[in-house]
Amino acid sequence: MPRSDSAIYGESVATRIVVTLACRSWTRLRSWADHVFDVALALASISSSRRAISRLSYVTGLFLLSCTLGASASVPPEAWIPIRWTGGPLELAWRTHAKTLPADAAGRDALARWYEPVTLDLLEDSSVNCLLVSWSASVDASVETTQQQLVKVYTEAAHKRGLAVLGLVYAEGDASKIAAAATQASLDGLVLDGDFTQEFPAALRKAAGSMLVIEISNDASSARSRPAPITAVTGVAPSGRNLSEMGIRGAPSSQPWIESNIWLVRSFAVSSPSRPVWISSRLENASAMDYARAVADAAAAGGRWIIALDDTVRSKLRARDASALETWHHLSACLKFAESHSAWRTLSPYGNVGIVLDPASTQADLADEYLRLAARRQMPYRIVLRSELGAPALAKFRAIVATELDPPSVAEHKVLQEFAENGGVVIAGPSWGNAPKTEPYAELPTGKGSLFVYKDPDPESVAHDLKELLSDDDLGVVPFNVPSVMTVTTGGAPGQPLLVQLVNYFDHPVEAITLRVAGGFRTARLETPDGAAIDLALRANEGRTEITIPKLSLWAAVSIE
Amino acid sequence: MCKGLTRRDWLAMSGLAAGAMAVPNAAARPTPVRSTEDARSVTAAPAEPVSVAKVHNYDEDLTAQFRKMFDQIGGIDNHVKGKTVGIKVNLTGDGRFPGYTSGDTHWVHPRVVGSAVAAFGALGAKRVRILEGCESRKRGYKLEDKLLQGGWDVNAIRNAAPIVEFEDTDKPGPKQFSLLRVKSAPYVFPAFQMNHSYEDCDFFVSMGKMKNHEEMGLTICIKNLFGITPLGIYENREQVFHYGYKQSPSGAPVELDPKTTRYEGWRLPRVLVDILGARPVDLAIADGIVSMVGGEGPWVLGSKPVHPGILIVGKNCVNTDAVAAACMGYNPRAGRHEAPYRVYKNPKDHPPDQLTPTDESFQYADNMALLAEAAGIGSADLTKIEVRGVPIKEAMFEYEAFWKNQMPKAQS
Repeated sequence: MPRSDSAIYGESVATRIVVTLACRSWTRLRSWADHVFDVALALASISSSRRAISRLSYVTGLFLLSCTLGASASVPPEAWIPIRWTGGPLELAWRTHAKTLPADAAGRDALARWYEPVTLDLLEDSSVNCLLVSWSASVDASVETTQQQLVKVYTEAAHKRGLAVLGLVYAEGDASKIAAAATQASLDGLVLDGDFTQEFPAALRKAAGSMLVIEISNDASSARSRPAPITAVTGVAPSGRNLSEMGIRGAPSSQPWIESNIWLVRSFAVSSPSRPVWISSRLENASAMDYARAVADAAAAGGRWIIALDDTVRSKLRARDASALETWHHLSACLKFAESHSAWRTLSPYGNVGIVLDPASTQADLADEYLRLAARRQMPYRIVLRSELGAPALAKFRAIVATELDPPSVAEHKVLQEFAENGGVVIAGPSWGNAPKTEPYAELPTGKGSLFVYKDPDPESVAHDLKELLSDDDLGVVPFNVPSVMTVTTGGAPGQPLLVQLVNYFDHPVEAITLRVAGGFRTARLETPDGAAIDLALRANEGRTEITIPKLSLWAAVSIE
Repeated sequence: MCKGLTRRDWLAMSGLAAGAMAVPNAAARPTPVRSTEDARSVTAAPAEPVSVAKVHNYDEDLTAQFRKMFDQIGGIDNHVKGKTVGIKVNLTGDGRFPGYTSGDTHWVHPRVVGSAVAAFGALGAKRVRILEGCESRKRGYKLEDKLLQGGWDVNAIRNAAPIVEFEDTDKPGPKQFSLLRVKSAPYVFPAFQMNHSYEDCDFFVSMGKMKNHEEMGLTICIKNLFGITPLGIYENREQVFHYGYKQSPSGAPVELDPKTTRYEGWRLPRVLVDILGARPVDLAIADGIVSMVGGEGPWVLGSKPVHPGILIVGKNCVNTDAVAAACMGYNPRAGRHEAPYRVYKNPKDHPPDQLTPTDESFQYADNMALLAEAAGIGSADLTKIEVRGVPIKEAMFEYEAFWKNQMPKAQS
């Protein structure tokens, strides 16, 4: 477990209180909020734990945020399902400046007229409830004023439909003016979407007061440790391709190249498990399957993709073109599937392998690469913050990847040594000592367990080797026949189902996927966005349970109990 | 793929009761012998009938098809009844062409394996062992796990005959590795260490895929045998066998003359013939129902899936490969300078010394069937091999056009 059960319980209770209170009157809540905030600050001041501060800040922030929403949209921020809903004269001006204006007249026309109320009809029967609208880009002042007047009217109409509206800020400008106009237009928040100086987000937050300001960050590691009610981070366009399609001659053991945000979303859970995580990525020449995959990729890990339809699809959608509507319906089906299983987001990550993460590391990219490649190797893992590395935290792991400790402190060395002597597997870097001179790694004799010291650990080799160094029982859940698939395993705590979600990154379905799970189970239920749930047969095999998924098109979840 | 098939299911699919397997062969009449296009001298190597069938997909009744083909080659009943049958299946890397399984294109297909197992079981085989090296260091990893990685229904195959076992032959198994000496005149190695199942085997089957091979030109039933050399002994097989950069590890037989050329196009075909000489094949099955051209796996640039719809069975591995090569549109007696043995290796993916043979001005692989013929193992001469079932010209699927497409113009 990455965190204590009491912490999970406390947090979920806090979240529930916030959501409930959000429905009450603003005045009463404001005094409540002040009280909670004071308590949070007091607790934080006597706590040496940065996570405690972060958690309290998150709860408090969410609370305050929900209070502000009492005046506008009815959906609390943690339930926001965002979509880029850009348009109007400011968008045209900004896109002209960025040289990304649609080449076709229909596309430009659709952008220009996007804030006609009729576009809100497109969202009927959709789970989308949060619109990211073009708000400020520091272009011509008159264009900006016209845009904001247009958006104000549109926001009023959106609010009547229960939709939240956030204003996109593309470039630095006068923070006070931007925030004041947003308040005047009753926006529910602002979203920073671009490159900004360090000072600007702080200035905008200050000017915005209680209005939520979300910053889409390009730097996952800094966003991970930054307290924020909602985390938004730049991700990738989910896709899968064989290396040969990329002109690369791989080895026989090579796997397809998969771009996924699953590891990224999961990495945010460590600092604040219930904090909403939004992934910002744009798809190019995307098919209906690509859009649905982007939703599934983020949602399977507990996050949300900021839906971003390309200009052509939006233009056609506005014209009610059949193919665009089909794309939209396909995407919507995935969204509905995700939101109808929102309880899955509350399941804690599963994994007997722990990867130590040091938020203060100067090699954040390398640390992220471990998380990314371990996920790619279908390894169920949990993150252990370096600050929490101790015998109690390690008690529920079978293996620890500690290459991030460079070097380990005396206390860390001791606790890991003891973990290995008691039967655990430890993967360490050369600063551990006794690293081999020629071989990639050496196994040092260690009590009942194993200690592997790498000469020069690289994430790809470590992820690959771990799969061979650990038994199936060590890993807990092992999927077979999944070269184009990513798996996410959560739950499995007492009273919780074990949930294995699978996302296929190829357009062709995969048949006959087998899950091998350590232990005995009685039921396995398969759910997908495109069909009724079915019970799967279980096969007991040498103390493990094997389950075969007959076919995976895009996204499936198997609940095992 | 059919899931959870029992032995009865495999047989029922074939429309046959177990007792019916002994019905005398009515379809075994020889078809006219196809004349060869090549008039090279041929040694007096054995020539056995080879059966060719057109099979359009893996959902056809392959158990019945095998029964018919076994009869066409003179029957195998007496060879398998009460015996242990070992089947070396052709598996390799785990890549996929989108929309295809590994069994479709670069592994033998699980339906071919299951149907053959069912046929052997019905003929009274005491035990059938599926054999292949897993190429995994993972603790507790089994061959069944590798098959699951390919999406195989392992239980269906396990149920296809009374006793079906799976063995990862990279490991010694319950016994030590066995030493198998080359019974024919060896080219490079006099003997090999192998998993015990290759020795404890009364009837040995090489079940290969009909594919091109980037370095060897072709991989069918002879090339399939490369995988019987255990990683548990030889560790890095490319270094030892392909390139000869390393000698066999201590305890394993070493090569006869370490001064011979290290060029793999010369060396590996000879090593393969030596392996065949050490573990002779009793039955060769070539799966070309669905396959690929341009390489041995989807990782080879320019390779692509194809649907030749061909299944070939023969008692002599060399004869079978020769007929299979002809069905792929190649001259089974082709030399170094001819397709598919004049090869192109991407400089980015091969050691520099492997790009320039010492004895030719172009990259090549020697024809392993001709080398095996010269060693007296089997004939590669179509004038001596009786083809039964579908004539080659009717079964033929031209691989060469695709193979040429992969090569740069200067090389083709």
